[in-house]
Amino acid sequence: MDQENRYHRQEILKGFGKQCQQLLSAAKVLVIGAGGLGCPVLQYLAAAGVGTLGIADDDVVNLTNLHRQVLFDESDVGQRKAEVAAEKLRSMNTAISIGAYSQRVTPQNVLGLFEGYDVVVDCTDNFPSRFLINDACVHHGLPLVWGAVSEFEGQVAVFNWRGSGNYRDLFPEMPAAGEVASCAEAGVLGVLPGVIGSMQAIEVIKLITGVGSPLVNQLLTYRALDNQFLILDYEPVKGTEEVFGSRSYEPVCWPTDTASNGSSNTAAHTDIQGTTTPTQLDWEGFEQLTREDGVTLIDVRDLHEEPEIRAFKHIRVPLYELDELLAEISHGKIIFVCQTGMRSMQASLLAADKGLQVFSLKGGIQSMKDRFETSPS
Amino acid sequence: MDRLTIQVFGQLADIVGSSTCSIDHVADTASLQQMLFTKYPLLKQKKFMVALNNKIIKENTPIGEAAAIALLPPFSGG
Repeated sequence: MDQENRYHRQEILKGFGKQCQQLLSAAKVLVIGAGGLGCPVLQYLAAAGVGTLGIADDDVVNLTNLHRQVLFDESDVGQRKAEVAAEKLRSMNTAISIGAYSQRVTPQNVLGLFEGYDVVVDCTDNFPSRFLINDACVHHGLPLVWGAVSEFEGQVAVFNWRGSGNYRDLFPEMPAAGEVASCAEAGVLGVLPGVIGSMQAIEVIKLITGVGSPLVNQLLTYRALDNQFLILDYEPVKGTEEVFGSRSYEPVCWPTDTASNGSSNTAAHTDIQGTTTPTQLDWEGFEQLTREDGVTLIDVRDLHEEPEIRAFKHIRVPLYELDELLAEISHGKIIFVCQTGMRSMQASLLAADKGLQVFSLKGGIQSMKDRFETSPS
Repeated sequence: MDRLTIQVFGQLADIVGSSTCSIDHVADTASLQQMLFTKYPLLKQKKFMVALNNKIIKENTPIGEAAAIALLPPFSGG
């Protein structure tokens, strides 16, 4: 096919021209994560004529991905994302070169993966990968276009561009276990990563071509529900040491059934500080414990959340009002429940601090709605 | 002085109970944090950034009248 006019509409842009198009064509961009963010990033960069695209993702397409990962269709379920994405992009644009890496980024392979690329785009879905990619970019001197989403909100930033700030200037350390819910736990509106990923693609194009001013030393936040856009400035921390190679990038999330690296573990365990974390209960454990004497069941969801629990005697106290209630409870066992198992875990931590014996229902009410709605017979 | 309205992002809103909250005016960001921790103790367990007038604040900073304040958690989702 004669490709001469392919980029005409962006070449005629003021301040862009054939020259910027050539810069795109010569650029090599590595996209890590071919999920909700990765799909639009890859699609737009391939369409825009970025000459070399790398796709790193160790996951396979899942049915629950399709509402937001628009590169994939039903027939792709079960196939490797990196390979499926590469194949689709090749048919979108035969003039560009696309590499697929069906592997997870690790401290061992990350620098090798970066070799030969000009820009890295973080489209991953977990903190360990995000911190690893950031630190490796700082180590390697590569700019990082970063985006992240949760529920109805997203954040975008450009890190490590010509000595600018990086992710650790915003968040010096990884959040602790369970502090932040993932999309699998809290959910995400399908279009949202489309918005944030498209913004990441624009930032990549700006870095490559020099057009406009990228989000350097700035964090953009977007909240879809009220169309709130904020651009926040931050100052890079001066004189910080490079940390790549000296930090652990082990997953810090609680095990959940839906997490890709998750294992099923419901027993209480001891963390590095030596304090006992609350016990997560599966359904059998939950049911058994509710039959014991001296056990209080507390629903920590907001009052408007459904379904209402009918099957078990319980107290309903929203998480943010829990402190007052806990001051009145001095003994006995408490089981916390919430919609997904995240807030109940937070509540458990709070109560465990007060020396109470606490449990949290893993997966929350959402995962077994029927069992909560039914009135006891 | 007027009360301060604070924009609360992400799952911090679950703790505060809404995407905005309002507290009595405080002199600086350290007192702000203190006040928030008293009112919403669960915030103590969270990592979040405080932005004052569209600038992310790391050190104690005076809060003027009609200040725009936002609390922002990190997101990991992709």
